[in-house]
Amino acid sequence: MSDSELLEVHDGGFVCALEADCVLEITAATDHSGPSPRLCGAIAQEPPQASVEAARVCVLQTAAGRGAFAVEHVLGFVRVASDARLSLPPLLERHCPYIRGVVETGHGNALVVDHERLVAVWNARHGELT
Amino acid sequence: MAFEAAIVSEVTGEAKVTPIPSNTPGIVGIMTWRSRVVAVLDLELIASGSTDPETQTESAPRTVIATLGADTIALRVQSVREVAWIDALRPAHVARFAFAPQEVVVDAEAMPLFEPQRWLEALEANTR
Repeated sequence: MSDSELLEVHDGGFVCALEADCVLEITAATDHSGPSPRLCGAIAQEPPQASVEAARVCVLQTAAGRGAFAVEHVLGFVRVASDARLSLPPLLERHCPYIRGVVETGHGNALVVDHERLVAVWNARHGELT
Repeated sequence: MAFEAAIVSEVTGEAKVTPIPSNTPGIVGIMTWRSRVVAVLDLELIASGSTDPETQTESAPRTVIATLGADTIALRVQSVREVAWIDALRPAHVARFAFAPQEVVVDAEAMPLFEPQRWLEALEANTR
């Protein structure tokens, strides 16, 4: 079993994990000029909000394009074994399409985000995030 | 409230719920059970149809793990009383719970029979 590295972030009361390989940049929200929806809002399939208050912006590079999502806190990078990842049951797979699974970290259970799907759908609906 | 005992896999203590960003009514988060991820439901939210976490049951010292076909769910409840044999079901006299069309009488007390499968079917119908 191989390990992988995840970036743990906190947003809207949720702890999410982003594949570290996809994280291109982490910037202060005040330094980021482009549109950056809140990560938790995008995962919950909420419409983009005009006003975003978050501390950091994570810029992701995926096969589906580039995406920038704002988060409240960046908790740090964690290394997890592949067998530590738990997949979602069918019920949640259908209703939480942007969550790929769950992994236990030092902060409890983190939700592993399906970046590619999230970026692909977001960009198709709202235009590519820069 | 009553459940059909056949769907109950286990009754555990208070669930350590991990919240998830979701607009699905009734689902408050997830928990791990037997190395699996299961959805955690709150009956107050299901009854009200609300997605507002403020509506959910404040204290839920018990968790009922139920199996519904391919899905396993966890229900947050305040207490679990007993397993009782029921001779007959009767239509609910007071339709105050959307997913409990029937009721049972235990120790002279009438209570709605919650059918989580109906909730699941309604959820699937709304997302088609």
